[in-house]
Amino acid sequence: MTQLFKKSILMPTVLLFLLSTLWFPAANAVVLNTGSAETFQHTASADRDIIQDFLLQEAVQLQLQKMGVSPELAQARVAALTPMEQQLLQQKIADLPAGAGVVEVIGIVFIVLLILELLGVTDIFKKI
Amino acid sequence: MRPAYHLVYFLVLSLVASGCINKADRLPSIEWDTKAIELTTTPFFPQTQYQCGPASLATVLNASGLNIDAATLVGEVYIPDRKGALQVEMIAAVRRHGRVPYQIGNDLQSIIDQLGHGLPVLALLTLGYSALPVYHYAVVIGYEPDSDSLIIRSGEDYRLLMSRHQFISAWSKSGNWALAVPSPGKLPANVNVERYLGAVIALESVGQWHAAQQSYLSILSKWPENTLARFGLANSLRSQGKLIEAVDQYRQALKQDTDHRPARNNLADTLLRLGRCDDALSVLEPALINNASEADTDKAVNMTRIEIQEACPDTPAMH
Repeated sequence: MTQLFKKSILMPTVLLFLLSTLWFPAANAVVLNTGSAETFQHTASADRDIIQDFLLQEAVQLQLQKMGVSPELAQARVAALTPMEQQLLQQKIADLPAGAGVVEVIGIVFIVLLILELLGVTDIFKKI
Repeated sequence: MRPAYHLVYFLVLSLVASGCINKADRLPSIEWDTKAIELTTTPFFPQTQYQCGPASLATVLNASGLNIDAATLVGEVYIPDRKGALQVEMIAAVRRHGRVPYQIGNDLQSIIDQLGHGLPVLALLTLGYSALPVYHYAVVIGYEPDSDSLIIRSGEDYRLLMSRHQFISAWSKSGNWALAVPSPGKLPANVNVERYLGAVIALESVGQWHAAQQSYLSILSKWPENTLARFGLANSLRSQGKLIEAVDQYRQALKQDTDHRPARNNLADTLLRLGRCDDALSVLEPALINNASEADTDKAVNMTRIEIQEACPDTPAMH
């Protein structure tokens, strides 16, 4: 995708989003979330930068898509994360432990056997 | 057996059983009289390929009363390029289904306690070497004293027995991370109120208001004086449009803590929505002090004051 195309999509979306928040300030604008009460100040904030939130969500969604998640699923998944979790993903999506399976342990054993074989320590595979 | 075979055999064994290597003094113990326990009715979803995340997630969600299969959850947690699922997304998926993802204590006794409470425990284990870790989600459903082993729904194993030592080692390498997923309105065993409320507040931020309401109620049934839970209950009611009930709860929160400015602000806003201009203003007035350390509250309170002024023609102007 070209830079121009990205811009032509992203900018109107950001603009529309900002405008819509300006046009309809009503509902929750002046109400504080439970998370804003003293001890949980970090989890939610009435003062959080709307633009930054939006860009963060967009960034995490793109990262998920790059890693093979479909756009619709990625969008719903990002929406289910708190801002703190989104930040964590944005910074560490490639490094966080990804629970996979016991299958991989067997794979590792095989690789070690193969290395030993290649180094000439063992000769099991010659028998096959 | 030839010496080379001995070597291979040893290497394979040490790899497969690398969870066994332990320093005895580092081993957290459990009480000696821990009885046999097994949550035999816990469902089982055998994992396919790398998808132990969705499988173990389906196990705990179904145990909490939901009816959902692992295949559906793949789209919620699995990351193809990572060939696995991340902890934050496992937590988020629990929330998406209206359950509280409660991170339990980091010792084995905490797991036993949850089991005793009827809750299977989803744990992240690290198999393989620490230089080449393989992370694996599994669900602990019991403990067998005779073999000193934990009973686990894992991968394709319906009932895997893992020795306590091996389990503790594999569990500690992934930071002793484990979740309990109680049914709505039910608290986990030995609940840490602050940690639990933190998880419930996150439920709110993804719009799970009904689940949040039930969870706040469960805390209040045990700790009726908890102002944060009371405030949360009021907010969850308000967000579901139950304004009259919300007003009652805000008032109770203020009775416990008259200086609770967020509660004052939200109560004033709710009263305004009910068309009670005078009440809204008199509730808000004590909160109209500026406090630099509570910038968000200051901003909200001032905006509510302006809203009241705009909505109610007789309101005196601000000074």
